Amino acid sequence: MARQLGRNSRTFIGSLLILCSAFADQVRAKNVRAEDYSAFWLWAGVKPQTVLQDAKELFVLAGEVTGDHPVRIISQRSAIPRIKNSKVWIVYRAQTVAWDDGILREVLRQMAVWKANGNMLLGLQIDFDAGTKHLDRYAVFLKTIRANLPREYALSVTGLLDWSANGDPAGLDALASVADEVVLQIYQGRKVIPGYAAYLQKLNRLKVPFRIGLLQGGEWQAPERLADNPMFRGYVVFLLNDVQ
Amino acid sequence: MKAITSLVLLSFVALSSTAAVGSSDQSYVPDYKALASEFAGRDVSGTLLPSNDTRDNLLFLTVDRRKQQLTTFPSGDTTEADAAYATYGEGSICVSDAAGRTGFNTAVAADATVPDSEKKLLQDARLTVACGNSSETGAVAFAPANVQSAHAVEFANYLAAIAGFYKNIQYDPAAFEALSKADQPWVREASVYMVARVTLLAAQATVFDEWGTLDRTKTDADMVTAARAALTAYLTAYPQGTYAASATGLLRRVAWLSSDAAEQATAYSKTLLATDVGPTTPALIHEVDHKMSEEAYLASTADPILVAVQLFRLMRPQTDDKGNPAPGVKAEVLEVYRGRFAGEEKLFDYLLAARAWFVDNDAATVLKLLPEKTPTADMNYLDFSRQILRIKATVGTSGRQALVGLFPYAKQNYQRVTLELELAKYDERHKNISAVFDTGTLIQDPDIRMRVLNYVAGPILLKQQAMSPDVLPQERQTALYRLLVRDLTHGRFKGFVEDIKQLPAAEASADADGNDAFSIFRPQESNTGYSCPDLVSTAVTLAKNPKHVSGRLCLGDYFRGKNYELELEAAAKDDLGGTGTLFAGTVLARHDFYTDIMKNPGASRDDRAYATYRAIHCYAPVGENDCGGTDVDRAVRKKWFLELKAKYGETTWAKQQDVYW
Repeated sequence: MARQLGRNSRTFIGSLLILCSAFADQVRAKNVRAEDYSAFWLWAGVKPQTVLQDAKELFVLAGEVTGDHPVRIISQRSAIPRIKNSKVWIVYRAQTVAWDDGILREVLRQMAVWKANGNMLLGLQIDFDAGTKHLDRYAVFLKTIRANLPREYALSVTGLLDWSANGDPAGLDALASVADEVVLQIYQGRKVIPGYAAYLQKLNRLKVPFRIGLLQGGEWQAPERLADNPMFRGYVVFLLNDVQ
Repeated sequence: MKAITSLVLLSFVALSSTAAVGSSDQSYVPDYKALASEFAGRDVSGTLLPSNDTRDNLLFLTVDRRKQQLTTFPSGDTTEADAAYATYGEGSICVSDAAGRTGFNTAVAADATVPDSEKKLLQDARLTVACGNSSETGAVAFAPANVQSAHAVEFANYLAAIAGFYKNIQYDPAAFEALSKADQPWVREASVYMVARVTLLAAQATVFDEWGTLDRTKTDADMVTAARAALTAYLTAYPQGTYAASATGLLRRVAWLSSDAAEQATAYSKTLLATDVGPTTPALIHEVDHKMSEEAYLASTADPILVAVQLFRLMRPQTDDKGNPAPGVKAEVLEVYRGRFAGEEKLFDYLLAARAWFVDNDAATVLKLLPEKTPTADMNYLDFSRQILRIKATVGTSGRQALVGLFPYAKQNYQRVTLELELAKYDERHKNISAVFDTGTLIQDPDIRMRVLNYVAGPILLKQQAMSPDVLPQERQTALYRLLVRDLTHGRFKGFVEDIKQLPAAEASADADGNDAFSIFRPQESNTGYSCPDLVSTAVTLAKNPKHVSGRLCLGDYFRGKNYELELEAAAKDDLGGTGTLFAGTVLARHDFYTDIMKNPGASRDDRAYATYRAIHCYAPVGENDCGGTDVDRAVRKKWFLELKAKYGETTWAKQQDVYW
């Protein structure tokens, strides 16, 4: 059960003591150990770890779609993967959703190449960077991707849900009609988002299958009854170089 | 419409870029920079900054070195994009097919010793060789016996070798070696080049693991050395050769495979600065970013601009060995590199000054390092950066005049808007934001203007801009929207009742898709179960009596339903908008409404029950209050719950409520 998160009720010394013991607890019991999971993100520059050998699913970053003129994909793999034992998602990190037909064609072409190289390709994941100013076009963008994606492939999107706004059901339903799954990240950069437990409690609103994205070595405590949520599909762990 | 606005609610963030050489460290929250980089896609400032994407800093420094004047950056090379290659950094052996065909046919046509009939045979045969679509037919059908003249035979043999190459015999240079002393000059040059290319392909054949990652434990140093030697041999024999650019690029690949920092630094320094920034520059800069190790940026053979890019990166907040936040680089570390900036002292002084400012917040050192110097000509990126940093560090009120004085000389791409941003920040810090909107203002960028309206402007300025016929419709809309929102959130109800009269008809404020920017202020059906009049009537009631019970409950419901549309996350303290809104008073908190009404004997039973019910819900679902105001302990929430059940048991609200949080 998640710790009570009262903000103003503790004395300074008291909170210091609580924090110390909580921290010790977390280091021992709550930090994400990759070997306890079976699906991973493999990002650019992250060295393969032994857990990859037994992974069931890998989300492999293939490219970054940047706002260059013209919009281009910057390849993030040094060579085409030939992954033997795991199923594979090809991932594109998008800094813009203003893709022209050429980008979409290229993504589909690269998917075909990965498949032709023996990878068991499950689908495409879009990791959209909200640092740019095209958020309003995201829904339309995903629909276009969906419409062009061969039926054999699934569409996954990453998201950080801001539930402080009581989550508009209409928006989530719209997402459900387009994406096959959402992977919700509970961290930003390398930091776990404070109060993630509160966000996750509201997941019963989600009508699209979802997984939780965890950070290797990061904090994690599953909310009560998460496993009972019919839409919950497990975890994806973001691997890091310096955490084992 | 609904789908789109509410998708904005999902705040999508990118996974952290944890690449060994991440160009923009995601743990470093960049400051507000007003514009998206045309180049790297991230927000960018036109000054050299630690928080800029390293690719932008490198581009600026390259433009400076080449002494270029660029009001926009060149678009990436589009010639290959047409051929469906929209990717930088992905190669395949097929990239050479089209150019190779042209080169072969041109060479055959130009060779006077080859009879026309044989030329046709050779060129027809070349057509049957295509990468990616097995060229077996062409290779088999084509035999040296079919042509007789000496050069034609060499061309034919070359073609056989190429057919083999595209047929995946990519690791054995023998066929090309046999032709590397051919008499036909084109065949000879192409073969020398192909020997090198094949040797490199052989060297890298085994170095990637199944995930497509370079595994340096698998590199065969001898094979890499052989590839380097073969490429160098081509470049020595043909320094201006047809394949010189390609061979130079492949040497960069050799340096990457061998993880030789000095070799990488030499190669990139030379290539980057060899030509003006142009259509091929974006691909090259992405390559630098992706392939160059951090060590190579600082290698003794690295050009000072690469050293500078890395030193800017090191000024970002760091993470120590234990994963804890640590400050950026110390001045002593920069001093180690002073000798590398001979002839680039201005750049080094700027690095020291930027470090002093961004790491130590030390204005005195900035002023000491960057003497005042009024520009007399257009500024390059370094000059511009020095001016801006100096002005930032200057105390007193001379800064505004100094910024204004820079405008005529800020001609390089991004400089003008960066200057507008600095001027707007200056005016904000000096409590003078009306200057941003004065007639004849220098601040024209819509994003900057709207940000000031959203985050800072008070009611008078917002109303002025909302009614101004001289500004963009988007700006008028922003001003009116924020005015109405803040009237409500700050309890300025009389103002709201007046200001809402400015609301345009729904058709007038709809965008091309029919989305009405002001929909949250239009009459809407309520489904909360607590009956409320429309928003304006509620405001009229509260304007007469701000403590009106059902008025406050209805406003509370409105806040609850429109939380997202109303809320504007505070700007970071040092960003534009960081000083906060000029609206008087504090933001109304629903929590206060409910706790007041619960203990108000003048309120009706039903209103008190609803207030209690809503107060309990402030803590759903995990005990965190999202109604603002002052939190209460769980014991108090328990008391509310018991009271709701005991005192108001017969109300709908009590019947609905079985838990508290």
